[in-house]
Amino acid sequence: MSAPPFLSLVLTGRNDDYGGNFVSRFSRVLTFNLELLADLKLSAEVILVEWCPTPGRPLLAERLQKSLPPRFRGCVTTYVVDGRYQAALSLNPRLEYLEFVAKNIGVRRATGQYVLTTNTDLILSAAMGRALASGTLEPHCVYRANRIDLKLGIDDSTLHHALLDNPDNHMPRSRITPPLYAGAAGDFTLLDRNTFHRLRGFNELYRMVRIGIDHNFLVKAQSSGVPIADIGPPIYHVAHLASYQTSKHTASRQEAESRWGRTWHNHEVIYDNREDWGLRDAPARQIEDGIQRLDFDWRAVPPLVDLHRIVLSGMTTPAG
Amino acid sequence: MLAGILGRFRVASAIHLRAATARADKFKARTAALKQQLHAARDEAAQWKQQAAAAMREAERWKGKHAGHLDELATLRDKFQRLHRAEQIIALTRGHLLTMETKLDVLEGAITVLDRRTRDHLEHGTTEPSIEPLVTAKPS
Repeated sequence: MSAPPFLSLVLTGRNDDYGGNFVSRFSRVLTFNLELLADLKLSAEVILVEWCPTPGRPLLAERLQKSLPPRFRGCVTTYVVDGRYQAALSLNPRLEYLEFVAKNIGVRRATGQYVLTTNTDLILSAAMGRALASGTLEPHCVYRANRIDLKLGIDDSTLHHALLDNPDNHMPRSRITPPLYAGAAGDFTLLDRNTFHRLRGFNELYRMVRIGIDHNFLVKAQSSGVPIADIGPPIYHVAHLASYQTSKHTASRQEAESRWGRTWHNHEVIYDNREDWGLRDAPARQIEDGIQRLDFDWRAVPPLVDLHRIVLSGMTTPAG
Repeated sequence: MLAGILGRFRVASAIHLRAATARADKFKARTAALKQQLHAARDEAAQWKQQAAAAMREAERWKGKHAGHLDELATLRDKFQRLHRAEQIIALTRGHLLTMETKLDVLEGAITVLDRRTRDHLEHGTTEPSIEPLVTAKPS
């Protein structure tokens, strides 16, 4: 049995051409990140959760396997989640993607010493690679990073560090600040697997929104006595027209609600996920090398309502 | 010898008489000066007494005022503590209110979902969660 990798990258997506040329953008970014980690001799696995694939389209997992360089194909394990889970779990019929339930599926199944939940269009900077490889990461600490948005329209067909690190290509964005270091936390939340599991992942009770669940995790971590720190180096985000930052001001109310859901009390009210969080009991079967399918089973579906697990911040038991 | 003869008849000589008179005048003057000094001292004492009485009255007034301030301070402290407790209660109440609202959100969501399922079941006879075509969706 091989040793667990140092890092698990947990991502979610599906083949819906999100933001245009989704698969090629994703493949380019993932290859870039895996090359960086490989150059630094950091062992890594990618846990891709393909959430409720669009019927009639090829799987993202299959398209990704074809577009990735062969040396990285073995790093990727995809969990293809049966589309009925969206309908069974959702508490908001307008919301189309339970992003953080999907990420929890990945976190639950990640084997790395450290787990980084991030997104498919997030690029690790060279300095970030060095920070990860420095051996200074501490367990029992949530690491956050500043996200730098690259300007719309820059030529990102070939990614390289000179392009990324050039301040002329950056869009202004306020820095993350203590105590929570919040702000696009869904793009970079890194902590050791054990603590992630003790915290039981992201909020799975308030399955009505995508927006603010990442922030809510930071509130939960802080409330559970887990410190939060800025790791230092930035990550880069390739701006595109469908991203939240770009389209939050232009989307209609209905569009915004279907993409992200309504604002809620995510700064104050936290959660205590059930022990079967992350669809623990969803039956898995291998359909190809590196691709597992999570079949639908009502027994894996948590109750629609579990009110006693919705609690006020500061009222949870410290995590280990 | 003359003094002895005059002394025998209890008569003083003129010299002695003059000297005695001069001494008596001197004593009288001294007595008057002392009387004057005594009056002045009495006046001064009365003045000091008055001042002392005024100071005592002032001291009493300040004492009363200070006691009033102390009472005021104690009242303020009490009010501050009550305000602090009230703030804590408000914060806690607000927290519970937000929690209740969040729970209500979840209940509302669940009711909406169950309503949909019921309608689907009644219309199409299905109990399985339906898979609707999904448009845009992906974390950003």
